[in-house]
Amino acid sequence: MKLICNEIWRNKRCRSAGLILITILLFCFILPGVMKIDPTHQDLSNTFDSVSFRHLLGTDNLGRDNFVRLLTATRQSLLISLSASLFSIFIGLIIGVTSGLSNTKTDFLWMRFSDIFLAFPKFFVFILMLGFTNFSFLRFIFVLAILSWMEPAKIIRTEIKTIKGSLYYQAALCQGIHPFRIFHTILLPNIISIVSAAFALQTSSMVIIESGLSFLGLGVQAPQISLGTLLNQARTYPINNYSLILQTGFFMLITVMAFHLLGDGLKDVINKARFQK
Amino acid sequence: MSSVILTVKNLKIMHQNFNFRGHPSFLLKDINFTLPKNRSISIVGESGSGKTTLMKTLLGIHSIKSGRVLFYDTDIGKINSKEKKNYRRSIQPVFQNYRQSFNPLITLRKSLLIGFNQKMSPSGKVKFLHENLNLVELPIDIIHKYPHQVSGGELQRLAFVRALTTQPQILVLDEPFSSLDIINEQKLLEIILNIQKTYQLSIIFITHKLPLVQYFNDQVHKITNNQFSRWSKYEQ
Repeated sequence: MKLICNEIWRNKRCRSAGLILITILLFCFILPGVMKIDPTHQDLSNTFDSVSFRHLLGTDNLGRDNFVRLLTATRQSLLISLSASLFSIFIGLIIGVTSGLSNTKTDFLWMRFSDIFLAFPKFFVFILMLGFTNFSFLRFIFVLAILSWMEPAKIIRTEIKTIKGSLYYQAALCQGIHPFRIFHTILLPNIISIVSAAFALQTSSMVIIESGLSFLGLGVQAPQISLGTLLNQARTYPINNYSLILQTGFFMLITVMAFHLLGDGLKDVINKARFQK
Repeated sequence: MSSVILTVKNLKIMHQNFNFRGHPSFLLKDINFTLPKNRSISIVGESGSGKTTLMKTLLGIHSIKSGRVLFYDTDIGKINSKEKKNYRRSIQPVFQNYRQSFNPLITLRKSLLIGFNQKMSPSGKVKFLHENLNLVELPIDIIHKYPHQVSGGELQRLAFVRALTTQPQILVLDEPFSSLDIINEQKLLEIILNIQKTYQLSIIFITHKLPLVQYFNDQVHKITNNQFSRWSKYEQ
């Protein structure tokens, strides 16, 4: 485990992505509280204000502070996408490990089950499950996760199959130890890096899906804001409020890129570890 | 006459790859031998003749399709999972490809500690490890390293220590000398004979080097043209 952590820290991509993510997280979770500006506070005498000390990134059509709204929106988006991808990775881990360890028939059944899920038209399900009911965060996260556990599950299953064919797994098997201990001592250290890479990539795609759904009005509802709702709101005033479109886009880009970079770096680390085998 | 630990009767082993016509294709037929306590047998054969597959079948990694393997009086093909666990613990392998037989991502200490009986005290485990590291002539602090940080020869000897942690009765050695020079070969040979003497182990020695058979020659078997047969010429 220590070996993996060292490798991750030594990898340039992982390190820079980590620093960007920590900065984003600190900004989003601490600054809105420190600045003491309510993101929903309206000031109709001050609409479409330009950049100033009072409003770092200007104001929108109702005179609300763009900067604080952006930070709050990013925080909301991050919270939703992180928990959704955590949930989906958790489901993927359980199904991937069971399927990888079980015999051919059970494995076959699990994988066809995941194929069925892969074949669902996602947006249709989103509209069905989110469009006709009141918005709730838990349901939103659940729906996001339930439609995206398949890829991690397949990745983890393949990894488990590879480990199963390795000599060190067979050596552990020959020592007659309990399956739980095999999982704990042999499988977990070897899949943890691939799981975290999958997690990072999953989160980045979750940010985009979440923003897309919120943009269409299926996700987060006003007065709560996420990057998608912010973009939708800015879209209505493309000329007066073009800066908000750019700013939201920039925040989304940075967040998604950081997660992608982290995932990529983790992949590099995994390949290096494989090479050492 | 010492008591017999392992009896193999009419064992057949199959090709591990698919046969698309659905007919079972046998790699080796009519494998028969008995392994008494504290004795050693050698199995000599060319590369690709099925020696390692035979080893994995004996270890319980591959299932037994035809024939019987008796451990004392119990049939290995018909035991429940608890008995199978006990059987697996009492027959331990040292793989030919020892570098791949250690998990590259955990320290050697963790790899070595996996096999111990859970009821054993931590100090007991450490004491056992120290004694056995002495037995295979390795420094004690080597166990804090990762597999890629130690040499092949050292890893091989650690594989012996790992095999001993489950307190086995049989040791299956798959070509242990295949990548060693003559000096190290001699050294390892002494270590193996020393281990056998200390723990009163039975040894199944699988090799393609005929000169080494003289050290494990209570029984010698050869594999030629898919036939498993006794080779008494080289026995004591």
